[in-house]
Amino acid sequence: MLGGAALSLLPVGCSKTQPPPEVERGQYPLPEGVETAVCEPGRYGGVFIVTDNTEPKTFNFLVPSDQASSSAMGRLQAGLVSWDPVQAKDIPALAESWDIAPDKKTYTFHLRRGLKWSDGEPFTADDVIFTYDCIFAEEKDPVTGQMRPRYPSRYIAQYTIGGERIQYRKIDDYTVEFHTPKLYSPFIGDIGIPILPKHKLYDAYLDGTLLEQWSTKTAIEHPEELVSLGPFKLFAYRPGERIVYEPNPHYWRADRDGQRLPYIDFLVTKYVKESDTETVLFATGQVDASAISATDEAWVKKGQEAHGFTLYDRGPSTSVSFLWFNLKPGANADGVPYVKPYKMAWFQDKRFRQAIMYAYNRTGIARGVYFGRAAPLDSIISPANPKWHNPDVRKYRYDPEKARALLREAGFTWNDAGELFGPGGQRVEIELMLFEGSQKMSEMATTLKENLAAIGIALRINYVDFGVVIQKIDNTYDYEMCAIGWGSSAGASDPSGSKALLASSGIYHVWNPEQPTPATDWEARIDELITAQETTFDEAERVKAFHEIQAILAEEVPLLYLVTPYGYSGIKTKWQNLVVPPSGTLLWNLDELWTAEETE
Amino acid sequence: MITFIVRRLLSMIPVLFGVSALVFYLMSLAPGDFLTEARSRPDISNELIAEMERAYGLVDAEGKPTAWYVQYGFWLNNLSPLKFLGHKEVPLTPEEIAARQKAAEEAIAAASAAKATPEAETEEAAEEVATTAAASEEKADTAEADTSTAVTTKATEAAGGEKSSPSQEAAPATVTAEASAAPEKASPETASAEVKAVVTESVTGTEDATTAESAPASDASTTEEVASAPEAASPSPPAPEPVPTKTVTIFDPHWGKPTLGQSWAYNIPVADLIAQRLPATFILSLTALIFAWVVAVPMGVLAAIKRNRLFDRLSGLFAYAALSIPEFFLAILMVFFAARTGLFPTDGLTSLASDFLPPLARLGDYAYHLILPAFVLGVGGIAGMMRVMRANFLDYMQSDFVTTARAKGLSERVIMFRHVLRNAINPLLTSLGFALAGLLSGAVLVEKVMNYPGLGLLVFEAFTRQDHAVVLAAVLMGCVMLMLGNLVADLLLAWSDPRIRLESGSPAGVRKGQWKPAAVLLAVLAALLTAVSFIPWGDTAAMQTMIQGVKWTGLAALLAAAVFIIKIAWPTFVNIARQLLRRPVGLAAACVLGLLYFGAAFAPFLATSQVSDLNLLQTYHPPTALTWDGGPAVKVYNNVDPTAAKYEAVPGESVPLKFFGRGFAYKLFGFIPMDRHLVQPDYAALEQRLGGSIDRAEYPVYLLGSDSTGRDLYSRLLFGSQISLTIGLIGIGITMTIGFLVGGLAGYFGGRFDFLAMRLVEFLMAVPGLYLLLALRSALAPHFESGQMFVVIVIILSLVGWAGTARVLRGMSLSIRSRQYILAAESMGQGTGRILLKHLLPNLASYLLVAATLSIPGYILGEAALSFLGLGIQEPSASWGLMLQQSQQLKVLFLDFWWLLTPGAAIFVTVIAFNVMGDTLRDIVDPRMKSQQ
Repeated sequence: MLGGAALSLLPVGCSKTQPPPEVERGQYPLPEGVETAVCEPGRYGGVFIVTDNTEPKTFNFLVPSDQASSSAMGRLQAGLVSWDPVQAKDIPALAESWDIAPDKKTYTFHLRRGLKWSDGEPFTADDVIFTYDCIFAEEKDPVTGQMRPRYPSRYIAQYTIGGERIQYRKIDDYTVEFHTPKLYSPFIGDIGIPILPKHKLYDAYLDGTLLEQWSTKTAIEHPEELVSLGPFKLFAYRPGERIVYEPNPHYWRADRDGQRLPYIDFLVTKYVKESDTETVLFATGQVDASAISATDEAWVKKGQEAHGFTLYDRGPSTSVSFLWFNLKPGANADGVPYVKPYKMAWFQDKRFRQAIMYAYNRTGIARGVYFGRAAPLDSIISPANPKWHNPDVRKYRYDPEKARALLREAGFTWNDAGELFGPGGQRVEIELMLFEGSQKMSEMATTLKENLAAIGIALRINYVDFGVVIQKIDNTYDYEMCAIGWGSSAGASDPSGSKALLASSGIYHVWNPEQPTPATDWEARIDELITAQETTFDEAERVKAFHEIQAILAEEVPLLYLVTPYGYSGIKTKWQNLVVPPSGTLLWNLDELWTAEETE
Repeated sequence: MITFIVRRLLSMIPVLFGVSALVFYLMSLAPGDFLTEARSRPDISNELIAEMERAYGLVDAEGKPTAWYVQYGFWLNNLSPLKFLGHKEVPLTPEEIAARQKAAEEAIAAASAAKATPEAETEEAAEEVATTAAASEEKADTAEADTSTAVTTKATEAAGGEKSSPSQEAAPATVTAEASAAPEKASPETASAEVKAVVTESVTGTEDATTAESAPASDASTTEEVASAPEAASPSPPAPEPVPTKTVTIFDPHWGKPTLGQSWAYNIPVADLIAQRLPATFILSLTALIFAWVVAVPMGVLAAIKRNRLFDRLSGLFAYAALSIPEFFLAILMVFFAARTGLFPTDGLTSLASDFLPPLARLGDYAYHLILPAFVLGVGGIAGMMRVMRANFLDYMQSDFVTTARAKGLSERVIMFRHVLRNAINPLLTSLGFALAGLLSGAVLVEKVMNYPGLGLLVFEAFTRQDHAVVLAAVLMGCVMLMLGNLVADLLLAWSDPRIRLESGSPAGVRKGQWKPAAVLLAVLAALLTAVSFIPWGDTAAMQTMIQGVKWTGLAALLAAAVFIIKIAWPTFVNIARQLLRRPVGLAAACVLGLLYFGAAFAPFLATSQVSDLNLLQTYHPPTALTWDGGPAVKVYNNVDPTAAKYEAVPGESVPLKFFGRGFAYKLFGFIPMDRHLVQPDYAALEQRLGGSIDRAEYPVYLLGSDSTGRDLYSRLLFGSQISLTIGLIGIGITMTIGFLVGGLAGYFGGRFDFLAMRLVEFLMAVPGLYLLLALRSALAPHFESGQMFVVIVIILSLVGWAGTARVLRGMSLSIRSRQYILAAESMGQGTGRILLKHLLPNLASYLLVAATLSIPGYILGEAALSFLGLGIQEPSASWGLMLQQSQQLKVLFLDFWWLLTPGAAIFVTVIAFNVMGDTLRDIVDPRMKSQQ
């Protein structure tokens, strides 16, 4: 350690206390359509630092990307409608209000007047129309001669309802109209996509380079090109390190004293590869807000006084994780069955699946591994989503005797050594496929292995690459059992977003994906319920439908739920106007947060 | 001099081609490609995926995946300023049209057949149809290949008026054979000659070919040169009626802009991406290097001057410690240190405020953030360099010219610094060249832990996400740097020591009969390459049989080699062992190692519970303290704070222990069935005392505490040692055997064999080992269990790692073969084989022993590093590396679960013991430290 001592003598006394440059405020008048926030008026100033694991891959929302990219873009962009996690409903954003015609298919959006992009150009209905034009643009495929999307993106499918595209038109500069081909109740939730600036991207739209615009390179070299309608605009992007945002001088929200939001001078997203490091940064007061995992809460909490932050217990997390058996019938092109027929017979027997659930000590995992800060999961909709969660489903708690009884009933037998044999006389051996690199999953799996060994089942754990997992569950179907975590951002506010998992034709219907017709009666019933809830505008009806879906899944156990750890969110106590929503990020109203403290 | 440099530069070219082709091949082994992930996501439409597949050349026009050598050809084409590939629209020959119609009819027939059976999976059926269609088309192609050359040429001329090369081999098999057999001669021209034969067809139906002309306009920007250039060259076909056409890749040399391609994951050109990360990596590596030099050289000199005094001992201790701590573990400790004290930034490149700082302060901020990562990276280097420096300095202090200088009355300072130092620093100059090679490769582990935005992590992630273009660019860069570094090292050495001549051949001439081993080497290589191409990558059962075969034959071969060497060199070994036991340090190290291996061999007997026995009631349990309660016993603990896993001993309660009690059944050494254990909790006695049955889970015995699922760490350490301690033995077994066969013989024979062997060694050293491992792992993982993966990993590690050993052994055998006794034996007319067995090998054996002992720690640390990256042993098996990786979460440090760090201590002790023993052995075998150079 000699070297360390010698090096610390280097002249490094840099001025860490130097304040950031003053942010110019109030140089532009508030627009006519300004939204007045209900929050208490605050004071300008302060730097807000958050962390993220992965860097954005693009700033163009038409390019397929990941969570990190959408979260980075979310600071810059705004949609017609946005989601308020406290009131749990869709609230006006760029659209001041909207009307739904009596036929429940025509939606008229009234845009806020006088809004400007962060470069000072006016925002009008033309931008909205341009955005949808970009999504639906087509060209002729030179090979097949058929029309194909010019800028393929997920939004084409999202806005294709019952096989037909939605229609949209401009009525005047501040009014646009949308028309859904069928009754489709989640439409308002779907319309909140970011709006693209016509004045910046029209040329690229014409010459076909739209998907190459607004890459990370643009963000690094010309941050001012990424014009914004959101609370912030890009100040600087240092790849591998951080993104710095500054307030958008044309933002359309203000407090009741007429001060334009946001109060924060700079917002910094720091990119940290290891989530462990993220936690340390927060725990040592270097970051303003962070999510804390259940197992870290115990020690992070010790620093609350010293570093001036508060931890909020957010209850069960919204994401769920589960195991499942491969129930895909049939065989591959060479005639090899996906799953050995005798094994398939076990897996298809719901008593077998239920027995596994009873044999699995999930309560023990919650207590031992998570220090009691977790609970066994009972439904595909986490209890963090109280509006949709069904608390009265069949629950499976650790009960090896019940498991044995179910297995006996299903015709399984044990030999003298306590090893389990199937009705056909084969030894019950199962292979669980896991992808490498998740310690949580690995702890769950080793526990399952021991629990199953106790009732005579031999479980083999096979670790493979993530790519292999994807390929097997999507393409080759040659596996017996697998596990993933399911955290759908679309499903968080409205479970309709989890359709790909629930519907038997869905691509994420993991145990038997993309079925032409439902394989079982209960899957058919789920399909029915999903269609039913999409076409009704009665919230209570929709909730009822989802309750029934959860009950069916709990009874049939195609998905063997694991545990749901409790989430904790920490934020520095100095930030005012904080409103903790029932679920989701604490920073949903980042533009309203302010601090009385001077910048450090 | 200049010719030497030019020759060296020229010799880089085949290595570069070979390595890049190898990387392409490796990446093709991993299942799926970079779009696999994209395909599974519902938010990415199929059209987009199809477009990307076309743009990146992953599929040919029919949607079949292209072979790796085709992709390689396209990549080379993009990279070289002289483009040799072009595209061309060619009308189909009547035979082809007929074949297509037939295929289409078949497809329709198959589709209707599929419809007829309602149960059939439509998707599957469609796939089947596609494959049959493709197969029939291929058949048509090959059938037509010989007869239609003339026809096609004519057709081409008619269409474009341009002559294209007539050879149209549609069978890719021939191309594979050529490309893989001759990676060295694959200069752009020859490679192009092979690739141009690959025909891609577009499924143009009845559509007018002119629409195809305008089509790629939008694609052109992404595919760059590949698509845009030939468009101008091929005018539209004259026929007004729709003519079915296909796109043919032709030989069409023209100039273009070289490009490294586009990163898929980041959506920007690779060159830009690398340029973003390069400065940080370069500065970090450079700082670490300078830091290591600045500290190591004076420390080594001081240690030599103050030999056997306190400073020498302390610095020796420091060197051992620095060499024995896993790099990532040190990094974690440093982050913890920084977080606790606040003296240093915990992570990152610059502080947040640096955007607003004046330039000078910004520079200071940058340097401040460099300290910890540079320290961690540099420490290992310091230890190694210091030892070399000290040894050399000592060596030269006793040399004649020093005595002369002293006699002439020169001051001690002048002697030491002007004469000794200049000579002693030579070997370090060589190492400087190698260090230069590492400047741009980045350091994955340190970057990961310390969140430093460097190249290492970028490339590692690119590999796991199969972002091929990024990986290739990085590998290429690494290779070039390595070879330039070698060149610089040679030049530096020549400059500092005029006695060394650059163009020197083998000093003692060339042995006769060296064509024999050269031929054998070539034959073995060829056999290996053929064997590799026959590996059944997709077939689990075949892979299982193969690995079993490899395992047992390998084990048998290794045992045979070991027995052979011991038989030959028995007296030497006995002699060495005697001397070793006479030295206290060596004796201590030998005892420690003996104990460790004893523990591994008797692990199940010594363990208190099975490796995977868990107890969810007692997670993160501290070690149960030993006590005396009418007999040996352990204390009982209560979980006083379950939210933080805090346990406190219950006064007055204890669990009695019993020696040689019965526990779980096991097989000692794999075949002796037993159920007795050294120590077992005596629950029967406890139940008697408490009166009534108890829940045994409430009274655990954890001699070293428990982990996150309540497994006994003491038992896991023992079972883990079976893996961690044998990894090194198997590894050196392989590397020493191959290293001796190639290096030792190359040194002895010299000449052509030597040349061949050394080029092979250089090639292998240029192969990026980490990527090799990653690729093979992901290709193999689905077929093997964790325990088998362990064997596979070791084999891979050592198959790549023998090159360095071979180099060292070559040097030794070079020096041995010019000794008197060898010359005497030769002049007496003894046969080569006899000389090798009777004279060379026994004398080399002692060096082998030293080299082996000193290289085992590398395997142990390597296993730990791999496990840290999630690439090592997997649950529920145990290894020290895996256990250390699981304990590297910061909650372990912050909540004081110190017992979870015992695997780290075990690694540390083992590695130190091996290093100390190796050094002692070297002192015995080779007092003048020859084996180090």
